Amino acid sequence: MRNRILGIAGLMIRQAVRSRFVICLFVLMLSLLVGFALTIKGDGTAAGRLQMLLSYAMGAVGVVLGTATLWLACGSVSSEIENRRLHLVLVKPIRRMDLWIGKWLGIVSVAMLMLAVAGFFLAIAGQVALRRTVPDSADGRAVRHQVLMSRYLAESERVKGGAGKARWELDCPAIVSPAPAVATLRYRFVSPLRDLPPVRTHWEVLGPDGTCRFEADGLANMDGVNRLDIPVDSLQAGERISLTFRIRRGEEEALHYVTFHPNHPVELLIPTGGFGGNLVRALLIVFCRVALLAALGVTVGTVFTFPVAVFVSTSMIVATLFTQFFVFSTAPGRPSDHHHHHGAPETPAWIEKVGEDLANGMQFAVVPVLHYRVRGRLAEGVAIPWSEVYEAAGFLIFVYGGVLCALACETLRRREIALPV
Amino acid sequence: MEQPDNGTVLEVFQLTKVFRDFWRRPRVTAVDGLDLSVQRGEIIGLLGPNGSGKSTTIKMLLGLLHPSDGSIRILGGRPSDVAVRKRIGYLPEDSYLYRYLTPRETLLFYGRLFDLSASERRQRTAELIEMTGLGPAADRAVGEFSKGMARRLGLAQALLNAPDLLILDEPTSGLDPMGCRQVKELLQALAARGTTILLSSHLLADVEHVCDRVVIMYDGRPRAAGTLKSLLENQERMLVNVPTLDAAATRRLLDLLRKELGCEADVSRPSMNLEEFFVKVVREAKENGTPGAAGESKMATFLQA
Repeated sequence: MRNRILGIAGLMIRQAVRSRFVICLFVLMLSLLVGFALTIKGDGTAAGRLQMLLSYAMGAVGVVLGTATLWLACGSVSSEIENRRLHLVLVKPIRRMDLWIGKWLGIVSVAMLMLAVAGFFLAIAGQVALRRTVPDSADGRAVRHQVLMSRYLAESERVKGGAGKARWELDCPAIVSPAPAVATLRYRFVSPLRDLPPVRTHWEVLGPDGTCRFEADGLANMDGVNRLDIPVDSLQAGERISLTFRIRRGEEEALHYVTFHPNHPVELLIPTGGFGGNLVRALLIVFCRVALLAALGVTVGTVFTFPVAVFVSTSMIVATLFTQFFVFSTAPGRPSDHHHHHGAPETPAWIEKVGEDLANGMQFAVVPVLHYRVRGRLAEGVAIPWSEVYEAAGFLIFVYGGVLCALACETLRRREIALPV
Repeated sequence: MEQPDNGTVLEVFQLTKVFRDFWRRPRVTAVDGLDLSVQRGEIIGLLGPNGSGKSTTIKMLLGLLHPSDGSIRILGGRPSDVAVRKRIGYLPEDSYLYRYLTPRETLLFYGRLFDLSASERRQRTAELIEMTGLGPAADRAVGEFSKGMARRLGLAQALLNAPDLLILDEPTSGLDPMGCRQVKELLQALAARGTTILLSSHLLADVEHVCDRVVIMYDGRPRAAGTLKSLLENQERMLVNVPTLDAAATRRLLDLLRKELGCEADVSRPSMNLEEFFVKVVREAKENGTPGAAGESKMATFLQA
């Protein structure tokens, strides 16, 4: 069985590397990466430039790779049915599943190769950015500690709050990188008015026994994200620490308007590893999504001709991306509220029920697909844990891929391959 | 998946195929109630004009089309059984090869699909390339091949698994007369070894040369079936084959025959057909040391076993 699958996969790889469309997309991907590296300015700082490069590059890689994969996958079976080459393959002692897995494996191998090239480029770009900055400068530290880093994002739990005072608790990860790495505290205020002046703050980090490990005064803006660097020496792996905040004396007026943003909890970014590992994990999650696209394309190609398969697959992707809006618009109560306001006849309850169930079903099916987003986290140096990689592989490759594989095998079993298309 | 003890390799009963349109309405009956039984080691020819249902029958035997009615028992199983397909070789009417692969890569690829070990794949590939005379073109892309060369490669891939049942759709189309002769000799040698061959062809001379039995189809139905001898022998006439006689002896013989039969008899010289003459000329030229495009084929050792 392994022999057969590898044979089909090898043939698929040959087909891919001979495809002009795939070669063009590969060249386009490299051109975009080089173009971004040469032209992106960002906010003028090395860290901002690198962050924007990582974000744009990951986006471009995802789009180009997705297009190449879908193109190859849709044609992998449908074209061979059309040009009848599959006749000679399917009369050999192979199972339909061997054919599907072989095709899929060949396509994802090509995608993996393209991802590896993109990953190598981004790793080099990171090193170049690091070498171009002065190590002890603020820019150099920002590149090293805020971008080229894998930081565990610890979301805090607010345990106490009052006028100008608050306290949170959070768990440190099992691994904390040694000094000179620094942890970063991120928080946002809700600003009731524009152009309010910055407020002077005081933060403390307390150990589990209540002893103060670190304290610092700062100046926080009412708009945007505020950051405070905390030495990692004040944190210990696996323990639960407390963060306390208060407005400094002389800022009594601020007590009236300083409120922490309810939708953006106070976060502590704790360094746990390097950029290389985070990049690998981000690329693996992109790979899982691409592998799902490959599975979708191969499966749809077993049912339709090549152009129809491309159209159907693309439509499914667009529908997936819009599902969240569909779910929102059919949320209970909304349609009837709307009709009441305009005096229109009320939608029958059973239609609303069906719509709601359909929306819930689509959400259930689609949400895991949209869940794994890595672009922003990689650019901000936020750790992408291995558990998420395993979860993405499990859901996107084994669960969704498995369902698509079963559908394709059943279609191939029922379909009369030699019927004129 | 053993063959039945009675040596029946293929049994088809009331096989019917109706092609339907999008709305499932019957459009055309391509095969209509075909009964067929093929024994081990037989070479059977499936004949008929275009659209008579030959290729449809073959595709149903291979599981590429599903019968609308009737049953197929092939090598003791169903066409969809992996174990059955392991013992079948198939050459379609067009070779349907991957244009970007070389013959060597093509055979190695199909060898993988038959789950042959790496050493077996390499050995069989080398032997089949030599046997089909594709040695000089073994590393050229198939897309550059003439139809005849693609046909030779198609035949090679059909033999890769040393099949028990070989199904060939127009095996000699596109081949030169030497190639046709080599293919026919090969088929006879394979049948002698015990391979069963089902052959569909428009070239009646080829069928007549190699087949033990034929089925003639028209409009999806078998119209005549039997051994070539039973179908073609003229019971009304006789041919006496003797060495050349002089004119006086010929006259005496004709007089005797007229007296005995009470009707006219004639004498003529038997002649070769054009293919036999062509092969003779080419073989003589080769013996005189002129190299040709395709050498004499030597049967692959794994097919001799």
